[in-house]
Amino acid sequence: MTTIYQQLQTGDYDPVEAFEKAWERITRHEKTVNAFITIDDYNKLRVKAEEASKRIRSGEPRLLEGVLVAVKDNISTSWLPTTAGSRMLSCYQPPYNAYVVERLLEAGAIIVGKTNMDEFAMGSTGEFSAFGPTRNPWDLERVPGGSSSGSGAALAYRAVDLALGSDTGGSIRLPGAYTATVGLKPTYGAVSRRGLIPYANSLEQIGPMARSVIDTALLYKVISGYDPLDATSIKGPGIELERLQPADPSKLKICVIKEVLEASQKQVVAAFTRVIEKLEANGADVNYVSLKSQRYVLPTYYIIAMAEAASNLARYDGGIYNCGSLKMPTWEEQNIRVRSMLFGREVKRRIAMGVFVLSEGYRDEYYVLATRVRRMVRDEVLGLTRDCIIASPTSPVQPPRLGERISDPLSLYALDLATVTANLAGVPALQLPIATTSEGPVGIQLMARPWGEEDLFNTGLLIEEITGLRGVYAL
Amino acid sequence: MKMKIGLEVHVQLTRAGTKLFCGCDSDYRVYATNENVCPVCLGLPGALPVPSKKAVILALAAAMIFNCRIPDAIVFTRKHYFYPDLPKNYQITQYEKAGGAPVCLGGEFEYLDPDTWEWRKVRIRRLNLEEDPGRSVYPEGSIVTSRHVLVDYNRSGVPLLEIVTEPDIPSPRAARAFVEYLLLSLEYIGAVNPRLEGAFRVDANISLEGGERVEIKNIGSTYEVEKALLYEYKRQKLLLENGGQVKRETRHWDAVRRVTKPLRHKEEEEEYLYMPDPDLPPVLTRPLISEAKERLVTLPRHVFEWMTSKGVSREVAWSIVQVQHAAQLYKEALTSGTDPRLLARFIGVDYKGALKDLQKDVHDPGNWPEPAVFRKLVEYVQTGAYPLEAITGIVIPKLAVNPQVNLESILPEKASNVEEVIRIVIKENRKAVNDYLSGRRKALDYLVGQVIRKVGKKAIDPRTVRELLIKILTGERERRERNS
Amino acid sequence: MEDCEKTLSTLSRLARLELQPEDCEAIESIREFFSTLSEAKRLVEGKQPLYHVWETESHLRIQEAYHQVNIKDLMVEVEEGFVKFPWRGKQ
Ligand SMILES: [Zn+2]
Repeated sequence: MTTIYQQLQTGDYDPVEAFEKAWERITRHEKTVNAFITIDDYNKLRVKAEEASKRIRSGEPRLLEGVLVAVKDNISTSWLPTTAGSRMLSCYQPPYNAYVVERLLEAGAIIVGKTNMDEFAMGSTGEFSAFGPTRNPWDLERVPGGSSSGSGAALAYRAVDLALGSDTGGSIRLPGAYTATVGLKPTYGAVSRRGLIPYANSLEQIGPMARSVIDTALLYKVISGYDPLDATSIKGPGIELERLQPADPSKLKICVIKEVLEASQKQVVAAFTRVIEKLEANGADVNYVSLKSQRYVLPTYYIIAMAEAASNLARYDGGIYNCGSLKMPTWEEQNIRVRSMLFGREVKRRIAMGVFVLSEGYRDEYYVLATRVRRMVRDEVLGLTRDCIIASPTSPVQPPRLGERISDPLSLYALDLATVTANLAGVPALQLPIATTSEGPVGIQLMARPWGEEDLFNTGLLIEEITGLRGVYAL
Repeated sequence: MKMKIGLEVHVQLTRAGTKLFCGCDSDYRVYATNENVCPVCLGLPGALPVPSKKAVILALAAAMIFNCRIPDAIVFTRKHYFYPDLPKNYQITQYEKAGGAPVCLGGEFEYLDPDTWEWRKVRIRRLNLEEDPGRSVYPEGSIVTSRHVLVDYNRSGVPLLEIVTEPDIPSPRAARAFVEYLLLSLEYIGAVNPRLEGAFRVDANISLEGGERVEIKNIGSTYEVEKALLYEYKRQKLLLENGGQVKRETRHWDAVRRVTKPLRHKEEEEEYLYMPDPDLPPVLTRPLISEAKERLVTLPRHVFEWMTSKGVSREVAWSIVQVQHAAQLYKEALTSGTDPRLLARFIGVDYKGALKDLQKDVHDPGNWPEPAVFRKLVEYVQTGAYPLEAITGIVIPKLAVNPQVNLESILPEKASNVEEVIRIVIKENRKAVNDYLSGRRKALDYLVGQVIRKVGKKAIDPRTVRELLIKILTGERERRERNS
Repeated sequence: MEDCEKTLSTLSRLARLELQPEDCEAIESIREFFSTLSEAKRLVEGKQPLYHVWETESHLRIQEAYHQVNIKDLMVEVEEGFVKFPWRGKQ
């Protein structure tokens, strides 16, 4: 299976041909899968593909010349609506582009459309979109994972070559695990958040998704970098694609988190263990370690995320963002009416709980305590990743069936058991597929030290060799 | 009755260049409605705030004026409340108790009380750097009655410095002096033009012995600070003297009716859900201190004390110090040979007075001549080239009309030339001369007028003309009497 | 349950959201879930809150940022340049 990166290198990538094939798949499957909220016009896209082909023929291709990319619908695009999966923003078209979108356009990528997602990225299954749930192309009765549900699904059925997601607590990696795709949650500060409609600013990053490790690295190279207009952006070491190569297993130290393994389903553990044992057999130093703070990561994460969400979502008051449809006589009534009508149930719950943990008398007990526990989590993870790649299943379970987890919020939050740690600690985390079974795919998550993206990609390349799951797709 | 006054002054950093977190203009007044806005100050989803270096430097410079303890890092917090002029429904400010760190953790400030020429001390509780909200207009009545609200976001995000004092101010008049001196100091460091419409707002709290603290909101000028506090002082005094109680409350200053009115009671305590802004990591202050310090080179107190040490009277020195450009001019014009008092008088009394007579803005540097011009004027008087009265009575008023005019062209005629003109006028106006000599004193006015007309545009002191005329005509009369 | 309804109405007021009585169950269970964090208190004694994960310093802005926005491009009612919102309604 050749990767997009290889095709670009060898000059085998033909944008017009790639686009026509992708368009055919979109025409065939999109109605069932529902991976996109907005797809750009065929003719416009065709013209862009032709221009890209011309540029390749003239020998001046850019890094992503003509490559088809899907962008999660919480990333601002000035020519396409950006809804964040919410009715609240169903009429909103931003007057500016996100930083990462500018980078994509400069690199010659073709943005095919905006992908479906849990409303305001609040969800782990893709079912909380105001535009209907996305289905998993590997099994249409199952969820594709969320909140970057559409990006994972679009990759899985080859509607696009690459996709952007955002990851607040696993929103890139869960869809990766459930759709057998690769996804990276970068080091906090590596990718500018400018233009990303925020859910929880201190936790989230935009990240690359693809069907192979090297393609994920390629997209990461394009979107990462210092942005003076994001006060949390950091000048990182950058990445050189030519230098990437499968890690030498004899120099690899892996730390498996016992607590996550213990909380995972049998079939997940089996697939995970097979890979780890092969690594060990090839000479890797495998350790089973305990992450002391593991039992606290979920409440810590959800308290912080909901507090920030309540704050970020206060601006949706029926003033600027209600399509002018809901009119109430007074300002306060309009606020209440619009927010109650246009936010989904899960979003309302999270806002309410966020307000709760910030309110007088509870702030110290919940919000401030969570930020202190966050320090403990970060420090423990920084200590472990100093000389170790932390490994675990990405999700404790295989993709749930549609509807299975939406009624009980706690069973939904439990899906993030392994993923939120990287967001709390700020470190990079890579998801890649390790098995595709009749119950759906299984993924492995690797966490490294801050700015250890290169280590993650190299380890990922090694695991890809072991599993042979490079460039797999459904349908 | 003894009183305690504390103030909360909100000053816009109108000279910060840009808004606090985006590139829009900090002086929004020149723009058409909603034409000084961008994704950041409109709070559009995904837009990120990045603090302006200049605004932070100005805030730090202000903290230094107040001799503040400055924290190593300043931390911005979000303060939540729903309001149409607040596009994110939270304001980015600095709240110490919720993980924030303000620019100043307490300080002390001395202001000049021009009634007594005393420097009075006020403790500063804190200084916050925050965003100004947009501007609301209530088209169908007031904030309490209007059906709709109209919002102009041009002001949204303008850097605002909130200065909170301890209740150390002894009187309404002192409160006014404090605010005036505070604004002057902030003007000197280049932070604000306090004369711009809405550049500052004051909330004041006042308590009398035996009564609770009352807060007065929304005072828009230094004059009204005094008026509102005085009104409130009298109201509370009357209440207490009649055995009544002053309860703790918030009142609103009605500038039109000149009274304070109670604000409606809120049922619940305000809940602002403070949290540190996750988009804004701390701003370290140490690397900025030296740049902030550079702005403190000239403060009003320095200039005032330097001038009085040169023998300038406090009244004149204060008059100059109040106009930053005049103070600047004074410093530049004063050389070793220049009489400091005469120079101060020309600038702070005569010229400033002339500008006021002409209703010209004394703060506009364009209305002032070059420093060398004032130096020359002092020199003329010192060398005896012109009498003081000629400079103050003729030259300075002319200069104020056109400060860029060539000084030579407005200097009065030297006496010798005038005499020639007078002789010509006498020759040409025999009838008037005869009338005057025969006792009609009014004829002299006519002759004075004729001389002045002859001299044309060149300035001349009518008194000098009159004196010269009388001298010459007296000689003429004596000549005639001898002849007859 | 009565307790929850009181919480519900406070949260509803602060968040400007209508919350339904059936949200009580979810809210209570989330609150309980959050409360499990109190076990961690002894582990974080003396630890400072961590609000920005790398504890880096903020950039400061010197150059211009963003382009201006034409208010008419947003979904708002504009009257003589002002954005118009309902306020007190008919009284
Ligand atoms: Zn702006």
